[in-house]
Amino acid sequence: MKILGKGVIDKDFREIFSSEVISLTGGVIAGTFLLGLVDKLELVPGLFILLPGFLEMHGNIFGSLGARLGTLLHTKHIKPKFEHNKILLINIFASILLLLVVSLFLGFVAYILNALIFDTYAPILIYIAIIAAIIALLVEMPLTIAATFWLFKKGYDPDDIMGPYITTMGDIISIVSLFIGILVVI
Amino acid sequence: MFSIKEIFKESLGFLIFASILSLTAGILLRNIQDRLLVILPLIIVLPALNGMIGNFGIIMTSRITTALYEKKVTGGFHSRIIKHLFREMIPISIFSALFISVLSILIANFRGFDFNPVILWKITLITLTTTISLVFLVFTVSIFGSLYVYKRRIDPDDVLIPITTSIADLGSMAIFSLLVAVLF
Repeated sequence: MKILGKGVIDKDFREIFSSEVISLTGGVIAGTFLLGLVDKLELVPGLFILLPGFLEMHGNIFGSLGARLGTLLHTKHIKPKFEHNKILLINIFASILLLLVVSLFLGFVAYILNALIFDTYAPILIYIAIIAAIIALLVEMPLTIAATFWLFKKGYDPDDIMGPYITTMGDIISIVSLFIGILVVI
Repeated sequence: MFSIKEIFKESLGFLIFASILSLTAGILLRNIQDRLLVILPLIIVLPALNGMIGNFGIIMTSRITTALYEKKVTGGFHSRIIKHLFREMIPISIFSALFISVLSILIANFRGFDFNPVILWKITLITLTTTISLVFLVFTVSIFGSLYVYKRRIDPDDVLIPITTSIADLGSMAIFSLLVAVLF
């Protein structure tokens, strides 16, 4: 089929399009969960400052992990199965380390900005960022690796699908983790 | 991608940079918080809009990176594979913007928000304007960035994904906040 005068509907287009539809639906579901968090805004002032960074962090770290695994699979450095592979373990530990460091940074800077700009002191933001990141990590890491391997084994290109999949999964898991984090801390 | 130190070193600076941009986006959201709390579809559409443009950044960067490693990008910006990718992304982005607008209104309606065609029109305008402008920006950054970083023997996946998603994040929230402030 032709779009913009050129034939574009190929395997990649179908993969991107279908994964995007699923991703968008997931994003809207995440938005519906977000309505539940809105009730907690009075208890956690400054949550909106933390929110985009927290959502984005998961896409960045696990998106990069998925993309790296995709490249490693394409270049045959790893096989699409869970096994003791040094390169796979390196990529897993690096992602865990990055997630912990960046979530601490996000929580701390959100606290500082909230205090400086809006004159509201909420150290709770730091605890919530770290606890929610750990909760999300436990769920998101195995799902990212398993999905990348599964897609590759099924003949799909993980590069086309993992981005939307990770950001959607990350959005839903992050918002639920934030919700649990708030309940734990308060 | 072959040592923890290498991945950490390549990624951390860009992730911190990305976090600062996202925190700036957070401040913009904090400023329109009162409007968001009243117009429910705006809250519902927020993660989808935010993630969607980031998705496009991840797809474009990872596709270009794999093509670079497989030596399929010849001719830089004018490469056939890059032109093809652009033609794929435009119709998908327009459809995506329309899809999340309608879906967010429907869900908000289920949650008790009164349906109003003017609200639907305004939300569609916001998502379409935000999406199309950011797709152009992210696409340009993905291509030039990937080619530049790859030449310096750094993995574009580690560097460009945080950068493009952050540009998408801050850019989309900036345009979103501005349009919400103007239209509501």
